[in-house]
Amino acid sequence: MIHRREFLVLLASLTAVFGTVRALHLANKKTASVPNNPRLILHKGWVLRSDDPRDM
Amino acid sequence: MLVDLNDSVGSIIGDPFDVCISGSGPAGIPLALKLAERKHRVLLLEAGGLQFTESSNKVYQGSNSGLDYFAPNACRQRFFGGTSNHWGGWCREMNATDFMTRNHVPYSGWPISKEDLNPYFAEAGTILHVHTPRVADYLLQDGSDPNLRKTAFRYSEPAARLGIKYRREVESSVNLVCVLNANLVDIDLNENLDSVALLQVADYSGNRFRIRAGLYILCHGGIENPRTLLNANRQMKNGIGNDRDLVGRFFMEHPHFTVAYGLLNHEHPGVTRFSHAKRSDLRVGIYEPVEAFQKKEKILNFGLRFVPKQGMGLPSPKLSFKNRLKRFVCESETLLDIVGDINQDFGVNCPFDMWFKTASEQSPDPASRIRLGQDIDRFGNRRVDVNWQLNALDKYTLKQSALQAGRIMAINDLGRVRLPEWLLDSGLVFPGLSKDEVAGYHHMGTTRMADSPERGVVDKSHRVFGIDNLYMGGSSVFTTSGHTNPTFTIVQLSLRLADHIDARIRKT
Repeated sequence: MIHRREFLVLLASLTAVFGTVRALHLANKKTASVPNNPRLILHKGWVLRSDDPRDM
Repeated sequence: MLVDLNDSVGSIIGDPFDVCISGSGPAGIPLALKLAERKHRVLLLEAGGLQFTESSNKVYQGSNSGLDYFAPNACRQRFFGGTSNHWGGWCREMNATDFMTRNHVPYSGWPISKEDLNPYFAEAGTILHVHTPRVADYLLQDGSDPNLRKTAFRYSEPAARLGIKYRREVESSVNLVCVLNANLVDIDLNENLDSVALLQVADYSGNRFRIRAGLYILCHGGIENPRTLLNANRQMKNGIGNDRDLVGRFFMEHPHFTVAYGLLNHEHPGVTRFSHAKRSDLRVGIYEPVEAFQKKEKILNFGLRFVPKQGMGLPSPKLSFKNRLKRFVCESETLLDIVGDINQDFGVNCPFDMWFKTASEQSPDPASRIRLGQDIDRFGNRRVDVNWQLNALDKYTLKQSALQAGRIMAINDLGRVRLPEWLLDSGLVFPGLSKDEVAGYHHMGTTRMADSPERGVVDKSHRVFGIDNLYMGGSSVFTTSGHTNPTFTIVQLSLRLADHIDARIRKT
């Protein structure tokens, strides 16, 4: 039989684990911020954004 | 019942049948079984045996006079089960707009619509034991796009080998007689030349037999159906059903080309998320142009596939995406040289993280055609010559698919792509078989379905114009091809044809 104190410790541990898993899940679902309508160009066969590096 | 023409089966095949079907592939077997189930006497002819044999396969040998294409005997199977013996199991129904007339696609427009095939969706799925896998959406990241939409194939896994799957059912059928090693070598018409009187069938020893039935259906595939009609030229010098020189024309494939190579932005959380996904999730990210975009850009339909390198090409963490991109942009010509032979180097030595492949609809074009070559096969018939041609609309569509891939990767900052040189070239240049996948073993359009004999070879019931009791089954009747692998549509069409044949026999 489990004591009340052990039960509370177990509950706290489970809450912490699930909280971390949820936070990681939400972080992964976030998409990168993208500038609105970046201008695109075709350069040396590449489809690039106008602010991309093009030459050495 | 399953018998062999090499055994003494003269008394069996001497009986008149309601229907004779020649060809036991994905078109012939479902059709034969459904008609037999409806109590019609059906004779199913198969030119090969139960297994692959050289003697049967050699009849499929021929030449290529168009673009670089597969040897005609390598891309088909000539034994029980037909080409289902080597298909990959990709299944999808065609889109509603694939059947419609599109002003920017010459010769488009079927005389039937998707609604005509919808009643056969579930039954075709059962025959091909289709299942739907999970789809990983790399490109749109579960979002939307004005030009492309995510679509999904379903799969027959393991791919249905119809000869194996239905052998027992064929053997135990009371109304169906399947004759192996029965090569259809000629067709005799009646005096008025408007009806088939009998089929001439030969075994491999040179013995000939005469087959009589009420109705005849050829299910030889998109190369052999026109070859059979063109070779049947004793009574009609241009071949049967070929008054207007349409038999064999409009040969369509699904052009399969690598249209872009690229770098992934591994700093993007969406890429990270998918790079951690299981490999089984990686295979079905396929995108097609929405109808409004097809119309606006005047392009064909296509299926764009995102193909990540194994491990997603994860670079050294010290190298930022922009630095990698800079190096690749400056050295891309050298890097493309490294890619070299696509078939050998893509998995291991390719310096790119991923590539895009497009399997496109091909525009129906009378210049792309199946015709008779000069060589003769063992039965005295002329071998096939495949003259596969792609035109400017085909190339423009492939290029648009690559530009759309590049656009989405760049605006979402998921990565960047580069188009291969041949796609940047304005001429009708395409990679050959040593450089790319090229095509899909999909042979379509060579006895096309149309609403009048001026535009096609068969009517909307698959009946050859001008020949009352001769029908064509399979992908040779496709008017246009969509971008979808043809087997599922072939089975749907066969089940629909079975309903038509059933109704016609009952009516008489």
